[in-house]
Amino acid sequence: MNISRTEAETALSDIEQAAAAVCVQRSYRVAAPILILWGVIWVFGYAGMGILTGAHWSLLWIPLDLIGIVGTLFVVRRSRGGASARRTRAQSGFSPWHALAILLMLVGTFVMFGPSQPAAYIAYPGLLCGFSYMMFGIMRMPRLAWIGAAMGALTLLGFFLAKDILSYWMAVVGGGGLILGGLWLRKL
Amino acid sequence: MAELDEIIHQPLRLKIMSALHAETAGEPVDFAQLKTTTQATDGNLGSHLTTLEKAGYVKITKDFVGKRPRTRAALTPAGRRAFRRHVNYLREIVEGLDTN
Repeated sequence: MNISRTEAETALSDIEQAAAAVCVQRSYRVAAPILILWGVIWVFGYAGMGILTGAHWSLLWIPLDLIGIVGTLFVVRRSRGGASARRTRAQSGFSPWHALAILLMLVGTFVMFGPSQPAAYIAYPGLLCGFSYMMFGIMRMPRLAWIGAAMGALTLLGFFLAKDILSYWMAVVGGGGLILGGLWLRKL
Repeated sequence: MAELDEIIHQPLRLKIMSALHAETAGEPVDFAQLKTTTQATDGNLGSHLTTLEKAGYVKITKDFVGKRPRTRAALTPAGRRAFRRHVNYLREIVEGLDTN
């Protein structure tokens, strides 16, 4: 049996689509524990901000961020095991350089605009993370876009409607949202 | 020149083989995950997996995670070779190397 050129092209396109779908699923599997980890960190960090005075916020967040960074690197490193993981990174278009670019943007804009109100200081990371997840999601991982959109919207909602309890809002809604988002990705 | 593999060429089986081949480390893939990737129904997926297993292209393992049964599928070395041959055949057709 022989097949036409068009049939062969269609078959090759199907193969590419199936491989791309596997790649997206694999990306979700890598992203899920990272989101859950950061969700837990946010719960502790933002709840702590509600309890502690502003002077202690840095002392609270530096170790939490370090735990998050080390944990994230561990998860990424574990996923680097085989060639499939390298292919995942290549196809997903995500690399550690993207994370570094986001971090630089976060630090740069923070330094440049220096939020003077505590509420802006609390809400800004949620807004930027939500935006970043949306961008990556739109590019390659649709579910991440929904998580990012929800995160950004809920952060804004808290900023305008729940300023007095914003840190607790971010702990429950932001941290809890990340945990739920991670669990959602794990279901795939 | 490579040859058409009629077992693999069936559209759903082609998707199954592609998805399993994308797991280059040869890791087994969960049935549910394959279902999401191929967008097939349980019955359809199961029946085509059986065809591929009979051809020696796929190995199906069944076990339990806690109390929940789990079915996983992975490409056999023969399946991997057959898939690559089939992809080469398709590429040759597209690139116009078919001299027939």
